[in-house]
Amino acid sequence: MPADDQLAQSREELHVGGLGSSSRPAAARAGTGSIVLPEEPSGAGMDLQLSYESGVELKARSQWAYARMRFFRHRLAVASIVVLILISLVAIFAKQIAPYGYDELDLNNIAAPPTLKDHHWFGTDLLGRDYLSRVIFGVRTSLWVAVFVAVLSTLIGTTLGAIAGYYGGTVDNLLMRFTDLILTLPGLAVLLTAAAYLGSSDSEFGPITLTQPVKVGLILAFLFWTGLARIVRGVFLSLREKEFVEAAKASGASDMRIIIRHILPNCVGPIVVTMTLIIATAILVEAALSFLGFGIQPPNPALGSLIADGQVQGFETWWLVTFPGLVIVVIALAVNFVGDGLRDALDPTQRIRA
Amino acid sequence: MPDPVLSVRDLTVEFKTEDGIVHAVTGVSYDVFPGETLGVVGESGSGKSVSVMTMLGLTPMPPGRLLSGEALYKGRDLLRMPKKELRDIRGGQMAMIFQDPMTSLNPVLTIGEQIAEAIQVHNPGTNDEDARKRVVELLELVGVPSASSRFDQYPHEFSGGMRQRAMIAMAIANDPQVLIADEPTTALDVTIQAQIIEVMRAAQQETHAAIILITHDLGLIAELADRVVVMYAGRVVELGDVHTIFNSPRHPYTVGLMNSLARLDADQEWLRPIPGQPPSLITPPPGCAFHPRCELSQGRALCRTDVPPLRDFGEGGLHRSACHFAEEVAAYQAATTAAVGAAHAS
Repeated sequence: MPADDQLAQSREELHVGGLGSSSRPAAARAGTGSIVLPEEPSGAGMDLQLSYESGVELKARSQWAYARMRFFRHRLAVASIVVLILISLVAIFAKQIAPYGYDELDLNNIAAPPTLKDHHWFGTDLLGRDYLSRVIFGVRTSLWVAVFVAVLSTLIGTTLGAIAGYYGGTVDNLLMRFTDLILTLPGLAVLLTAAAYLGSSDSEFGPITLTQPVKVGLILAFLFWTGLARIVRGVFLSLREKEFVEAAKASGASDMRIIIRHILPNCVGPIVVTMTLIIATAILVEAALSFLGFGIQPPNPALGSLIADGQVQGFETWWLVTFPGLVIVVIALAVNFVGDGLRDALDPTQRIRA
Repeated sequence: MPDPVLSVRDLTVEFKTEDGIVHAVTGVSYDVFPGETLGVVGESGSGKSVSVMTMLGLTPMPPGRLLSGEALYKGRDLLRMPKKELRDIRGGQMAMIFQDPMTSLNPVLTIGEQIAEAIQVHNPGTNDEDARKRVVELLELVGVPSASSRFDQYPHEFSGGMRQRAMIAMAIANDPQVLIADEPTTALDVTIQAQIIEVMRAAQQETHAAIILITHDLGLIAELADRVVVMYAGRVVELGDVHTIFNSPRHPYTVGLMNSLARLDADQEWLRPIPGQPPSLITPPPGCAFHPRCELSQGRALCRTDVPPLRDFGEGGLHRSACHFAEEVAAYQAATTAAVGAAHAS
């Protein structure tokens, strides 16, 4: 990729260079010392002549193209996104990939350490369940919860932040005081109380069945949207004063349209970055919650509850703690690196270094 | 005389600020006739933009406050119209060209998308293909070369002049009856200004729209306007057709403006600036707001006590001036012009 860029760039320079020398009047090139004024452009601006009439292909890049280029220069972020994609694929196709079901017992191999035999690569737990399979299904649950939390809290945070920032005044005050209220809640205490209150099984509200992961996701999302709401509000506050917003108003656009079509695309950067960071945090907090026994309940595996199961046994069965722990670390790190890369890529003040 | 397409009557707007109430616009009245170009001239802070923005509902309220007045567009009062209806008029029958094309275009949408949006907002159901065709036509009309490929470019890929062309294309997209241009050339360099003036002429020919041209550039007024409204400290001080305003003004402020203008056709050595500073709009001078700077007033009591009303000169209310001593202005103008000449001779 970088090699391609360089090639394209040098090609561009070549073209521009070629134009520069050929378009200059012969007298000036020969160095006779006479000053020759460039011909007055008629009607069109100079830049147009450069890029169109003279046939030079200056490839126009949108800001997304620039962002992509910047992202792909961030090696760690690219590696991380590859890792994340692989892990997500494994999670999505868990049923096809895992050698066993997550609650399948292998009574011949109880508490077996990691071995190549019978594909028990991560060993088995005290009931003889294949640990690789349990970790794979655990990743599936944890990632699902994390993405659910990220999407939901992004929706809540963006909506409230956008409304507060765009309308300002009383609306802003009300929404932001509510945000402050949520922020001041002691997180872990609320999480544990809510988890205990909602119970450890699926609950039904009329026709809606809330499964265990959905409930955990709802609780986490309820606490996680605040940061994003503040960020989005800030961006909206500054952007609503911009002239292009006034111009959009003057062309008859409604508030809704201005918010969604004109201002929101301008804050995609901070939103995406914050969203990735929420995913990382959600995975960690969900693991903590499950570890404490308030999150996903057995026999459904989640990364946190797997560690909790394993730590009861002490260090003799080290693999029961190590593998899910490692996976959590890898996912959280990778998500953070991707977030870093996105932040650098989407920051418009960062110009590309040639 | 045809019926005016837009008539503003007794418009008064003030702003609440920490330092006090700013009387931005006070009792402003004028008419805009179909197809004409009305220039609104004045110094910064004279209320030119506020009076127009208020009509379109673009003055933020609060801190702004509408005290009185109406703005009749085809018989309907824009100032008291439901928001939804006003939105339909904005960008449809009344469109606006902004001052700074560098900041008036959304950086994350392509030029084409933004113009197409203006069309689709007012003509729901226009499919993307038709909108695109129309946008390319518009871009060609305003002189954007290679319009169909420029459709997909972002504002940062356009130069200032090209962006202002795109803004004009956006403004005329829905064949407006009234086109408001708020200092359309101020942010551009001089060679581009001349081009934009041409584009505005072409746009007016195409749409037959009346243009309200807000500017402090008298050159632009001379170039484009048919009639002129001169504003000072939130009030209309003189109103008339462009020849009258330039040749036989009836207000000392207008005379001052003309004298401070560098002219190629007059033999001037020195420009004659208007002495003093524009007045504070929080505590405007009593009486005529211009009297502290007025050389004609010479401290006469009437100027300090009474706000001069707009009086008719010439038939049909087509030339009006708000000066107690408007009859003396002609002699004053001759004297100041002679003074400039004398300074040159000595």
